[in-house]
Amino acid sequence: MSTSESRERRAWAWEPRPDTRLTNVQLGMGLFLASEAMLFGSFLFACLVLRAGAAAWSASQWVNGTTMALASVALIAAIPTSERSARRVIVAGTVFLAAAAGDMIRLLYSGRHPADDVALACWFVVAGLHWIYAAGGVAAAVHHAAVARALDPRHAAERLRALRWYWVLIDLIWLGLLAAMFRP
Amino acid sequence: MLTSTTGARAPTARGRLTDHRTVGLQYALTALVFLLAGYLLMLLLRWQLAWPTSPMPPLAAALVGDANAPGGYMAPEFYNQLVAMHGTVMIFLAVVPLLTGAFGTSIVPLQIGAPGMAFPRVHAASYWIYLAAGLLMLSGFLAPGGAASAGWTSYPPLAVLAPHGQDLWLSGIVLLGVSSMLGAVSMITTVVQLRAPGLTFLRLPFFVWSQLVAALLLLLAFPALQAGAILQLADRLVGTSFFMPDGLVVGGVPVERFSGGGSPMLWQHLFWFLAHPEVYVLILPAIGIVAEIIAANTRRPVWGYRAMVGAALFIGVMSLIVWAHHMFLTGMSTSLSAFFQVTTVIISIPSVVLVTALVLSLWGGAIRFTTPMLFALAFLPMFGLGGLTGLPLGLAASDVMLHDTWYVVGHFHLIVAPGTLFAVFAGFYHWFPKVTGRMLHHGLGIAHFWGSLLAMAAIFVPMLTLGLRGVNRRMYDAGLQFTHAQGTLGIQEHMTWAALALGVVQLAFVANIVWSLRRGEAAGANPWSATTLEWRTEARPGTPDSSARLQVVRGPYEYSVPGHASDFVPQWELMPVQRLDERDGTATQR
Repeated sequence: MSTSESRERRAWAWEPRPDTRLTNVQLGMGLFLASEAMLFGSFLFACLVLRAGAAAWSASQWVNGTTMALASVALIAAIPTSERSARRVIVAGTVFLAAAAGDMIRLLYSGRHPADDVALACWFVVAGLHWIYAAGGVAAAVHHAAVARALDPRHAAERLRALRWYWVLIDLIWLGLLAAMFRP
Repeated sequence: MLTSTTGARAPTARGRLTDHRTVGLQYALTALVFLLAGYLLMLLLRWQLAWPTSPMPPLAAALVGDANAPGGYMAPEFYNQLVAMHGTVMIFLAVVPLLTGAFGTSIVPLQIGAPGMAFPRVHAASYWIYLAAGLLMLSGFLAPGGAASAGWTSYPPLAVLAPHGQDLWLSGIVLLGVSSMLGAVSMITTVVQLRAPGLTFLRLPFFVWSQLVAALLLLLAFPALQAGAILQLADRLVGTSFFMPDGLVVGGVPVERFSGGGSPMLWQHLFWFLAHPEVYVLILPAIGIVAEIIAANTRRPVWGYRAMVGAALFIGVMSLIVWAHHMFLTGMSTSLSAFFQVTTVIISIPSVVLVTALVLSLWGGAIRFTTPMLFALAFLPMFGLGGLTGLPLGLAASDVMLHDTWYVVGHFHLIVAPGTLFAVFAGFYHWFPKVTGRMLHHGLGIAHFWGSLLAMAAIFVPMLTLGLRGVNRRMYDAGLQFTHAQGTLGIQEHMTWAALALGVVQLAFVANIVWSLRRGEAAGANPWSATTLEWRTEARPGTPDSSARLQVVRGPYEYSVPGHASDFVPQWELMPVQRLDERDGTATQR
């Protein structure tokens, strides 16, 4: 392969290939998100099945609406929309992480344990995993903020777009989880 | 070692770990070691089945330890561990990594003219995570209580109450899900984005299509089992009740550790949502390998290439909606079982299309009975037999009788062993010259082939008769406690001797590799006179490619083209009357 051809191939990392009109980053992130959507879809399916079969669903007894609202707003604010907003992702994401973690600690201190019933089990496990993924999103934003200036602008723009898609999925999962757990 | 299609310089030491050739070799060697481990586990359990009332040989008893074989007699708990881990190792750690990790990683970039994988570090990470998962799962044999023992299916409540080895198994499944996802993302992006100029999707070798569909299945289906494994781990470690029902009583004692309210059926749905597509991950790349070999050794195009591509894609989609045919005996409603029976019968159609297309590809061909071709030819009837034996299992009325009997064991082993493994062997013989620059010895290959075929037939076909007689699977005494199983021990004994013979025959394969690495006949750039891109460069590294730009100008199986001087026209070779259009690189008439 000639040098220019190699460069062209590498450039498809952040420049669209003519026939597919996709960059490697777009396709790779899209595939990753599809897989994670199936993962959390399976978790939400499990929660819905267990809720359908439960004689009683205790979620309304221990949910803190204020914390959930704060966490939801922070998650939506964490979706990056421009180059400057990598920092906003970090701030809003950290607020979400603090709110969500604080809520779980509150539940544990009030004597509610995931082993108590399936509703608490669903919340702790699925929301806990979601928290880990959100933390990963904050870490990715920190990394992006650290390296973006040294990158080719097209590359940086592709990375930010990928980060945006990631946070959109995180938000959708959160909304799905709230619906599965707390809808009347 | 493997060269890239472009004959690029060997990567630096720093980049070597992420080079697709290195990762492919890592996958191959690791998966072969796990294959050996799975075989040895099988030998132990087959010994028990053949002679359930006799002590084990002293060496074997010493190896497994007194806890697992008190007084030399295998404990039922240890038998259960062997069964569970044999299945786990063979499916998750040996065959799928061989097909997708070894062959896929090594060959796909070459066949599409790519410099490597789209995400080399991601792909390398997938290997190391797979290795960690495998070691974690097998370390269960050293854990108190032994390895996972609730079957490769890990059904709760039994699996939730099993000893510590089950935690290691579940953790390994989670890691395998991560590995599969990373590998799949890298493979799909590579195929879609890094194809050489002129290599449209309908010019892809069928092997690449099969890897693409397999990667998509792993990407979309494995997360369900990952989710289930995480939930089951929570049940075991935290005491949640995702899968633990109300009022559970074990051995007459109520299990009070769990609050209840869970659903064991939920696990089965999550498990089989992956585990059924997993069997297509096992078989599609194998069919891909067989297609490449049949085309090269019949000197004619594969019959019905587009039909095969369509069938592979259709199988991929359908495999996601047939899973509950593994659950006909769970008390599901007749309407639900009818749905899954219909989808199961429908999915058999594209499978038949694939096998029929390969059989028809032989018609009118100038067949060369090379060693890879022998394995590829044997694949067809053995996979066909395995597939046909699946039909009674896909229909609920007959499955009621056959579920959980040896018939099921015979069915899937016929598909995976003389099916998929024969395709793996065929692939080794076919691409060995590409990797090493030497040909494998044909005589030793013939011995390997016939010995393996006869041994596998002797092991797996009798399983069908055992199942039809109603003998249940997973019983450590081979069913001796039941009247209807009396008189079947002789069959078990014959199968065990055949299993031993199968291992002995593999020594011919090992000897062939060792001998051929040093003294094998030197292979040229294209020893099979094949048409696909991986044969474009010299087999030995360091040979510079021509300065001509790589351009694919035709489909993958242009054999015996009328009017052409030779009986094959490679994908990259311009005909004398063609030239490359400078604007877009397409081939046009002069």
